[in-house]
Amino acid sequence: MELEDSYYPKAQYIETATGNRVSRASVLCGSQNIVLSGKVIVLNGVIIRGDLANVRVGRHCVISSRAVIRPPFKKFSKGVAFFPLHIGDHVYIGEGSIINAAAVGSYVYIGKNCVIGRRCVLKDCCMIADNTVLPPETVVPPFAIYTGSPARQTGDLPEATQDLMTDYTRSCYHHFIRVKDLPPQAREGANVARLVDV
Amino acid sequence: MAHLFQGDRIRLLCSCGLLKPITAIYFCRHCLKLRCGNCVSHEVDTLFCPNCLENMPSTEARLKKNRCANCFDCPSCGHTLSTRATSIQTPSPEDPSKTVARKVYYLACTSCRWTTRDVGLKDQTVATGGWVEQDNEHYKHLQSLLEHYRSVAQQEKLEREKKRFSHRKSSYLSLSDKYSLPSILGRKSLTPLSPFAHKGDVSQTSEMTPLEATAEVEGLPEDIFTEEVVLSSVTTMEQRLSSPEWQPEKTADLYPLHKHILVKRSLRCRHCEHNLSKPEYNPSSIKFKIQLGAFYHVPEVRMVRQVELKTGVETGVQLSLCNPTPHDMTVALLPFVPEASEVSLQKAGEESVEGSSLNTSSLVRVVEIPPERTDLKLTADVALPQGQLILAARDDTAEYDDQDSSPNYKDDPQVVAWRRANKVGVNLLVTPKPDATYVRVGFVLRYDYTNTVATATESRTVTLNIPVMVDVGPVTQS
Repeated sequence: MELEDSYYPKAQYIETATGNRVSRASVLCGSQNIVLSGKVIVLNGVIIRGDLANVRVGRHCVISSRAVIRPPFKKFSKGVAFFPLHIGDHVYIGEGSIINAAAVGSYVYIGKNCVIGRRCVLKDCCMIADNTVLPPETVVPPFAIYTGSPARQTGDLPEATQDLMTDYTRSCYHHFIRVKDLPPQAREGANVARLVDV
Repeated sequence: MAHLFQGDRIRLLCSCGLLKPITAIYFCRHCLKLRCGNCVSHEVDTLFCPNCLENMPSTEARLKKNRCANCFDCPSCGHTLSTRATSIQTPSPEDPSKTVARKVYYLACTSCRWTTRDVGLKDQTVATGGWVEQDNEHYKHLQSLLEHYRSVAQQEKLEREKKRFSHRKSSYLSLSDKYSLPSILGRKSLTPLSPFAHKGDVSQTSEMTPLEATAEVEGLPEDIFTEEVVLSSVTTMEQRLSSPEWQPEKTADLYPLHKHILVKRSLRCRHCEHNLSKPEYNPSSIKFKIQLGAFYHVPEVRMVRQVELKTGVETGVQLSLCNPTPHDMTVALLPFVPEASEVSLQKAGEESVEGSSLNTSSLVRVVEIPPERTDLKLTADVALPQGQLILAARDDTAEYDDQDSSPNYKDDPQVVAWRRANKVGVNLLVTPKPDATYVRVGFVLRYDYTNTVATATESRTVTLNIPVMVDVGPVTQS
């Protein structure tokens, strides 16, 4: 099934020179510490905590609505320290997922409502199914599907994952189309961004 | 990953008769046939630990029972244990009256909070390793049993060998026996046995005494009726079975479990023995040395959008065809007849077996794969577009091209709905059959494949037919 077109009103999104499309109804804390490498879609309600540590997001990533990206911390004998969070290219993050990982590789698919615990390492080409809780400090090897709470490996991804994810995130970007204003019937739908009070 | 474009709704008929989505199918460039996980041979390439991502040689893996030496799983919830460091006060070795801070390590589960301290395991002074392996009380018995059966197997093998030798070369052996010459042949066959020969000699085999069955069974302990059952201190079935050698009944007997290792495997076509998929050795690498997935060689079919289907009503369904190869491709859709395809599958199977036995040397073992039976019932009539259409070659730079290439192709607007880079949209007309609740249509995808194998002698393009099944969607009753 090809992806369906979804429309966004020009006024509600900021498009940068590198092609990032960031919803005005998202919260980017400490924006000087956040790097979006280009053609990244950040939907409404997303929170990226750049105020804690650096966050770098690779090219062609999709961060769905209400996702939280928060650099991980580690407790030491003298207080805590936050570590930078790197996300690779062509990564899809589902709605309402909370990402606390130390590193997310490229071509990673994270489903809806997932919790990625502190300092997890997600290698390239892996998948976290919907509603999965990844306990802290988990390593997800390449081509693995993790499901459940606590997450366990329940399947393998096909060899073509890299190209599938590339195709998927690319078509997400191409099917996310700017319009001047949404048609009136769509305006009442749940997809419309409402500005979040901070 | 089939969920991404709902790819499992479009399945290809593999040469073994199974329907699989395109990502689960391989394309053998040498046989020019589709292969799937069912009809290829799987080979273990590398073994690695999923947690520390370190390679392990296969001999070491066998010794360690396919488990990682350094990483542990929580015996309570199955998650990976992580090492925690704390400092404790211990009396100083020089001056017992003073205390010094020492770092000690223990294992803790970040998911269920189980620690090695819970079960009274002593903290370690080193960060990795040092954990004492649990000893099984039956270890010695099992080991002696193994040894015994190994020697029995050896004995039997020896006898079999002897029989064969005496049968075939009786004259030669009897000659050497007669002159009591140390037969070279005989010795050769014995040398590999030597490590076992001294262990598994006759004296030891006789040592084994078979266990005797008794009718008397020890009674239940007295306190089982009086003691209150604390369910939280009893292990669950899953916890017990995760350590099959000990199967602890009490949570106090849980012990960290070594993590199972994973494998990277390569796939090989069983007919021509060529590799279809070979990953790089590094466990964290996602690259492949050889990757002959159907995804890279067969035009990919996708549905464009979900349509509402009604019984007996002709509905237009749009499919997209995508050319993954760097060569232009001529594509045609032909009607699919399930019965005919079954016959042709069987025929193809027979032919390929005959053919391969002719041109491959006797050293190569050709494994016959029995054709699978799959339900190929179609629940709708389909009107396919007539004629051929050309799929443009895949061009990675097309993304940056603003120009539309569609005017270069003379397309029949009845057939081609749209054209974008290496993709084409085609319209089908689907009429669900009367008592169908879910529409499934099939067609044969005929395309010209440009063979890139260097040894291909004849024409470089070959026309291939691939049966495709499409799950169009549920039927709404009108």
